[in-house]
Amino acid sequence: MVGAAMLKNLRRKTFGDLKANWGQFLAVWLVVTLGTAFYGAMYPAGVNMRESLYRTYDQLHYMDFQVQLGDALMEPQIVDEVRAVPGVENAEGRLVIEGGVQLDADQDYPVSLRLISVPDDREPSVNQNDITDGRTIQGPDELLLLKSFADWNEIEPGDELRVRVNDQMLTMTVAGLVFNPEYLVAGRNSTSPFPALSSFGVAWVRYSWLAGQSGVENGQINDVVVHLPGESSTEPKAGADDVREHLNALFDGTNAQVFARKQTASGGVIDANINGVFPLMRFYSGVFLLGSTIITGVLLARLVESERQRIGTLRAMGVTRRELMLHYLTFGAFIGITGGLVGSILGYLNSFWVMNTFLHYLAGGTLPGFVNTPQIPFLLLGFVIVAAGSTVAGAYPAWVQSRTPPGVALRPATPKTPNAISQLRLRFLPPVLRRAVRGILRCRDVRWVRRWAWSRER
Amino acid sequence: MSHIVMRNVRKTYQMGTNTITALDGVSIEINAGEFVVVLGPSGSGKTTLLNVLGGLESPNSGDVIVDGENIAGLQNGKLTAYRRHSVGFIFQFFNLLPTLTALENVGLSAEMSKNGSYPPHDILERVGLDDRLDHYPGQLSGGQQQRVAVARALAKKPALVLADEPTGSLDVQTGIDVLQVMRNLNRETGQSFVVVTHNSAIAQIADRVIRLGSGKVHTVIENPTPFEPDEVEW
Ligand SMILES: Nc1ncnc2c1ncn2[C@@H]1O[C@H](COP(=O)(O)OP(=O)(O)OP(=O)(O)O)[C@@H](O)[C@H]1O
Ligand SMILES: [Mg+2]
Repeated sequence: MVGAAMLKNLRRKTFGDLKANWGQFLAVWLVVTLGTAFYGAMYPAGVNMRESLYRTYDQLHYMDFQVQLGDALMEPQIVDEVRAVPGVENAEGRLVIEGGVQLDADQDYPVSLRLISVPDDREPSVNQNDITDGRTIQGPDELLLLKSFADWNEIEPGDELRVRVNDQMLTMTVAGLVFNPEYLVAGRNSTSPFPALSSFGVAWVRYSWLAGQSGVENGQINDVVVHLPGESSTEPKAGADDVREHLNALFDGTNAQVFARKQTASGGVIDANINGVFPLMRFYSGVFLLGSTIITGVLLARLVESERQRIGTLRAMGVTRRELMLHYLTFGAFIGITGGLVGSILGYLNSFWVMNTFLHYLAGGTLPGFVNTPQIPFLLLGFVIVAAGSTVAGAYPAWVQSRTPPGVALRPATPKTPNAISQLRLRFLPPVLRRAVRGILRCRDVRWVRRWAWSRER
Repeated sequence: MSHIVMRNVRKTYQMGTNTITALDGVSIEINAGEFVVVLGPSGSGKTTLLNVLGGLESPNSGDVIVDGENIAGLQNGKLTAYRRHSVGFIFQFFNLLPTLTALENVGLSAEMSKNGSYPPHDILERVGLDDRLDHYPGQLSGGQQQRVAVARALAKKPALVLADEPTGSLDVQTGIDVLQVMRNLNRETGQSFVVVTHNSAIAQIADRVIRLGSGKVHTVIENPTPFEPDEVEW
């Protein structure tokens, strides 16, 4: 650094060059910045989407197991037995009844409405509702409606709904709209897990009301949901297998079926989405970073190449190769550091957009557990790669150029084997790429690529 | 100050299968502090001769001995140091750095030298450009650029000044002024000057005149009583 620091007029040249060629430098800068921005948006968004979903699960005590009793009903004491299973934190017995709803007076197709009971006197301890609009249930003829279904059908708190239960039509009032971890994706069941919000909705009503309307007595239930302690991010939770075996044993001899999260509609779809989206996000992050680094390298190499005569002049004046390299390295470093910095910040902001788009599509709104923690080590890695990449991209061609004797560099460049490169057929490449590749090959600093291309030609 | 001996210097360029001989066995001697003019038709190898003398290109064979050191055999780093500290080059096509002002162009050369240097202002003033210090090359006429290039080469007090047609794009009077500056510095400091020109009138101010033709030395004439530039009939 000493030599370059001493030549203050060479530093002035740096600023002068930046000012004189700001358009070209801006173009390179944008490539770096946008590449880093997309890099910083993709994979971190994946990480935070998973984190947001898990946090939502944990905040609302999403069931780890669901026991469906089928058509059979069971006494409520079974819930106490489930609670007593070692490793179970809490369990809730429910009635789940398939009903319907008449959204328009002249509607001639059935809209299913799944009715799920909640305790009369308290909030459920498993699969809790997060009320986004309105309030909780305060009377027997009130219900909470799944937000995504309500939004789709333009239903608001305070609206009255014609609900069909047990072949009777009843008028219910919508007390509030909710997220529920069991129906983040409003799928009917694991065999048709995808939401069809025009024909399937979910509502929560008081147990006494639902039991009364469907002729169930003595607190009987047809569904048990089970929550284990621990965090969803470490799924499967510790001891889950043992709990499952206990549950199987407990319900042995009945028609009951035990489902884990991933075997339910919403849990399964979300798990598949997250697992599917994750590698894709990582891939995109890599592609954007690599792509922008390569483009930056080629553009900077060409910029430095156009400096041939000036490099010759500087070398003729006695500027050392080291000073020269440091001089040209400054451009790459400047672009890489500022572009990487701005890109990282833009990337972080961009990740909100990516997450919101995806989560709205998935769950129909902003989840209660939404987090977007900056993925500092990941962003830092991208920044370092971009900054180092463009620094090298500025320095390396200058280093190569400075090897040319100044007497030769001072004369206008002789196009090196221009015809030979035009004649490269590059049959192994798709036609659209051939011209671009020839352009890159004309770049004097990629001799090994050219050698490789020639070897493919034979 | 530099004493130079060139012995049997050959420089060739390969153009496909053709070999172009730019210097074909050149042997000359230049005494320390001499003001030398090199004459010759276009393509005769004048620029190549200066490049070899200035360490800008290495000859294919032969010796170039400057103050006892054979620069023909120097490796890159030492050759760079030679150019940096010992040689001031005035290029045929100026080659100023376009994003630096006149003052900065001269300043860059001056700050590199370990010999101490003339203050860039002063040397620009001597070539008559004291009112153009902050102008960029693009804002200067060809002749003004040429004078900045002269100032740049002289500013770092090199032992050897190599000038490729320094008056080629100057009007007669400015050309004389520039030559006078160079001649005066040559006398004051004992710097050696090798000046390439097409103009044989300039030869009258030289201590020694070397005529090149087709890469060979035709004649070398010593001139014990050189004229001052303003005494020459132009
Ligand atoms: N890089 C090169 N490749 C091929 N030939 C070259 C190269 N450099 C110089 N030559 C040839 O070497 C010969 C001498 O060139 P040089 O530039 O030294 O001539 P010159 O005497 O300076 O001419 P001018 O007065 O026109 O500037 C010319 O024939 C030129 O074509
Ligand atoms: Mg010439």
